[in-house]
Amino acid sequence: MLKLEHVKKQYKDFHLDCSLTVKPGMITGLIGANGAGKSTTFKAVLGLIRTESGMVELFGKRPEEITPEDKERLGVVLADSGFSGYLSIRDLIPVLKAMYHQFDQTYFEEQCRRFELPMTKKIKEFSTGMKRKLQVLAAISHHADLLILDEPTAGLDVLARDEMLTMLREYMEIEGRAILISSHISSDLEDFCDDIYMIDHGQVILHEETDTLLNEYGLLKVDGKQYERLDKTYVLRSRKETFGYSCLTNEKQFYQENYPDIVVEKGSIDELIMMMVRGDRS
Amino acid sequence: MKGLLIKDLKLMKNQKSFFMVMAVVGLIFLITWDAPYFAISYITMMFSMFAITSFSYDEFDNGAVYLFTLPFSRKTYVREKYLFGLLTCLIALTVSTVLAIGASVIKGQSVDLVTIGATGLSSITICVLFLSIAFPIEIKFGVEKGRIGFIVIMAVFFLGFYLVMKLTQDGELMGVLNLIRKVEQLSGAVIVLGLGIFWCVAGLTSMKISICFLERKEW
Repeated sequence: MLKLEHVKKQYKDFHLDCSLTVKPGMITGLIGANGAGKSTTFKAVLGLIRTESGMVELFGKRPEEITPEDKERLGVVLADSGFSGYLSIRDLIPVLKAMYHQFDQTYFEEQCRRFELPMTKKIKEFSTGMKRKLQVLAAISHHADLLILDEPTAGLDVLARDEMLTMLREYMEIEGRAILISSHISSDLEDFCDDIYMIDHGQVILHEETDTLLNEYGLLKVDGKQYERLDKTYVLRSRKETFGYSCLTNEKQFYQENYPDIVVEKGSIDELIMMMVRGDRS
Repeated sequence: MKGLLIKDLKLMKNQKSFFMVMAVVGLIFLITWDAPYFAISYITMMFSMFAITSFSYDEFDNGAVYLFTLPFSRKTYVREKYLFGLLTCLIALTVSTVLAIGASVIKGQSVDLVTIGATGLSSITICVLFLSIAFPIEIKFGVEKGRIGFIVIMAVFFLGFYLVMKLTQDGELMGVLNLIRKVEQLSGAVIVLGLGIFWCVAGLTSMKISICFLERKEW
């Protein structure tokens, strides 16, 4: 559905070199710190920037071959941009109706009511959360095949976030659909994504299925002596701590079986990110 | 294209107080001035300027980035802006002309259709010229920088025009008066045809440049 192969983009002090794949039926997460290259990757996918080299393939087509009909198969939420603030939802409905052949006005209006979005108020007067809800609703209301969601849950409270993710899960119930999503709230991605790409300084530093990340990755907490005698074959990153060392492994079970005296923690996605980005390579 | 046109029309509502003021000023001109020609040009030009303002609405709060993820091509966006500019110009011209004729009839004045027609043609010409210069600049430089660029280009344009007039006013071949005299000798049909060709050439050239600028643009 979407494939990026060594897509490169050079800015003054930033270099993107990204490869990723989004397959039908999959929810793929993109995580990374601010400025890691998530939004640049999204812009490359959407043809908003020209890449220097590499390949972007969306629905089996290169960006220059993408037609408005292909774009109708996309639903987009961007972190720092949305509908003109001078429009209201009431203004927006005929616009979306004219642009998307499959725009489901009834569903859109129902969801707007459900999320208590005012129909006649100007969008610029909406809170960040309301703007985000509106964008997500617009993205899923025209039967898109692929959603590209950059920080869709930013600014939402816990309840709204949960409702939003439920709505996206419902969206995925139809076979063949896919989502590429980025979020700085890793717990959103932990429960939601099938696989996760971790990006840092424009490079993909890790790609794993979420189940593998949660079940096979772990954090070893060791003191100096334990660290010295530790078999570091499966240690991906390590970091000096006050108590000794934290080590990130992708073979948690190996250490649980062979080093029963060391502490092996499951590790959240946040901790994995921290270790992948800040830790030293073994 | 239809969706973009609806968007711009909906955005136009935000300027309703501006348009109301313009309409009232236009009406005052119609009522107080004997000749309605200035009111026709004034209303037409003021209304068609909204096509330029619509770029600001698109760019507001970084909205252009999202706009270009919607299902239309960059070429369509540019074409829609030119069509929108043309539509606002023609609608304003039609409405102001009808009002002008109505005002003249109410005031019991004779209606000089030739002068009204000439006013309409010159208003369209100025609008075409103005929008054809403004659109590529807005697209290339964005609203903020575009505004400065537009002022500079218009200043250069009018200065150039003034200098050409000044330097050639006594010349036999290129003298402006000589030119006007020659135009006066032409039939109405030839003038309309000539202007039509000028509008098409200016508009299409400008549109081509705008498309070229927009296709190179990154966000």
